[in-house]
Amino acid sequence: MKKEYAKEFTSGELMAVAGAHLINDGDLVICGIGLSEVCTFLAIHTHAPNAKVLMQQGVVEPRPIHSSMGLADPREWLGSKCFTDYIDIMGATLQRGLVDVGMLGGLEVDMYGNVNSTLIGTYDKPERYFTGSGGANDIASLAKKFIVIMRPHEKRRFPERVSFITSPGFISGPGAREKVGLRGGGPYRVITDLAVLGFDEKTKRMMLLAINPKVTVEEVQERTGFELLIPKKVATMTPPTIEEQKIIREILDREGLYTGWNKEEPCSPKK
Amino acid sequence: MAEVVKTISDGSHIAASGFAATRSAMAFAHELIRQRKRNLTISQCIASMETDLLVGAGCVKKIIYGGGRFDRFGPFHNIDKAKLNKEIVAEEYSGLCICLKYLAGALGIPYIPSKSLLGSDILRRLRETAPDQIAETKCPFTGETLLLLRALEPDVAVIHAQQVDREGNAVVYGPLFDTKEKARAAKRVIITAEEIVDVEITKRDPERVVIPGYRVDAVVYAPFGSHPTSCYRWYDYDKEHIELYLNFCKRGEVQKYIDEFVLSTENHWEYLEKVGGPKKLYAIKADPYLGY
Repeated sequence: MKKEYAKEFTSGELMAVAGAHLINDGDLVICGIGLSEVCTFLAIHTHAPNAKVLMQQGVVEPRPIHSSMGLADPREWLGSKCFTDYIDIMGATLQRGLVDVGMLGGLEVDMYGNVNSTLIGTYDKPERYFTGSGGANDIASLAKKFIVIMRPHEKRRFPERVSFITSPGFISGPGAREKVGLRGGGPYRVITDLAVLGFDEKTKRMMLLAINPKVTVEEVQERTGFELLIPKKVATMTPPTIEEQKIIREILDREGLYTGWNKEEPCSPKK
Repeated sequence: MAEVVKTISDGSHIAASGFAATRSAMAFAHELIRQRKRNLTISQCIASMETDLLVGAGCVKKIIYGGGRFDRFGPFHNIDKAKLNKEIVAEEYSGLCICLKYLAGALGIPYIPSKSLLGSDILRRLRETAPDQIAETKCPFTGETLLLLRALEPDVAVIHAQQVDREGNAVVYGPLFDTKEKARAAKRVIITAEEIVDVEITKRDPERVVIPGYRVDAVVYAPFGSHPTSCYRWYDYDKEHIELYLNFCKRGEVQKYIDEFVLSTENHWEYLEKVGGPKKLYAIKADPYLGY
């Protein structure tokens, strides 16, 4: 069957689709709320009906119908198949090595995929504290792979080196994760409102894979605080199909809180 | 409540009940503030509202936790600011590591190995500020690197439960986050609860009991004791009141909030009147199907 693509869509919707396409059928996925959840449920509603959502507070396969304020909001727990606890999800499942994909966000991500969600300022002179880890460090340390969802894509959020490694990516380069004893596979993709980025197998440095049709490769580089590895051919981010867009707008993000489909200026497939 | 809170001495280590915006033992925290407790250590896997309020009230010397924010409502202004101004000591881990520390305490073993935190600045900070709490070693069996986390044994765990009976058997509905481990790690357990039921009711559904009575030292009746955070199947969070609280905190005026809602009320019943009484409490009552 030929896929029919939406003619107009937002950057948020592009991100949701990019994230959803990274989830395989049958995957165990740990996500938070917001866009990471939209990605995961979009996959479940389309190509990955057997992917299973786990949440750190102890919720297994929820099917929320109301937008929630967070993991601690009972709206997020509705329709679960099992209520358990933190150590069961983050210990007996994640540390046990069973989680295929972990999703996280943060304040900054650097060229090796290290994520900061602890502070702005510097390690020695913090100017302001934020969330810290929660489950983020555990996910980055222990999941088979993790995906960072970050927006807006801007220079200060993509420094060469994050001011604080809350959640380790490839730390300082090839072999560094293995050296400190980390088991998980590390960062796999970074999804932003401008691009999808991956990591070069040899150097472990961040590499541009696909861009939002509304920007150029040069603009993405311009808005990144370090030199991206840029392959000869950079793809364009896949737009949502009509079906995917309908699921986003009518089921997963009816209020447009995360994908901004009813608020933002839409982009279209060609410039 | 006042009587039970009197048993908490200044400088105690309390494992707090809540997780961000749910099942915080607010009524208990209010009484700690009224009795002007000082130098408390508070631990929990994810920060929650009672901790933020206790920090704002100047009751806390140290927090041992895995980070966290007030969900999408906003940051925990008092915790974040007190850390920055070094008014409290923050021993910060990840959520899993706190649960593991409690588990070690619960099992009566001095430490527990983990595979988290390695290579992070969280670990670097712990090496600098809490070197007696962590160690890295090679596994004697496999040779792999392990992070050893020292056991956590709070003086008391204060758990807000939906139901408890007179013997202390506590029923908690909803996901449990770190409830079981912290209750078992603690030297004493205090249950505050929405309902106190007959033991015969407990015995009809014993698999629902999360903390057995023989581990529980005191039981306190505290209906709407988590307000304004949610208590699954009993009531929703009070969005309006949480926003009001955050507005005070954001302006650096948490003391005004405390004066108005905690210190000007003599007990939990007066607090419930103050925040809106029956009209408010019925408005946040949970739908029996949804649980919120």
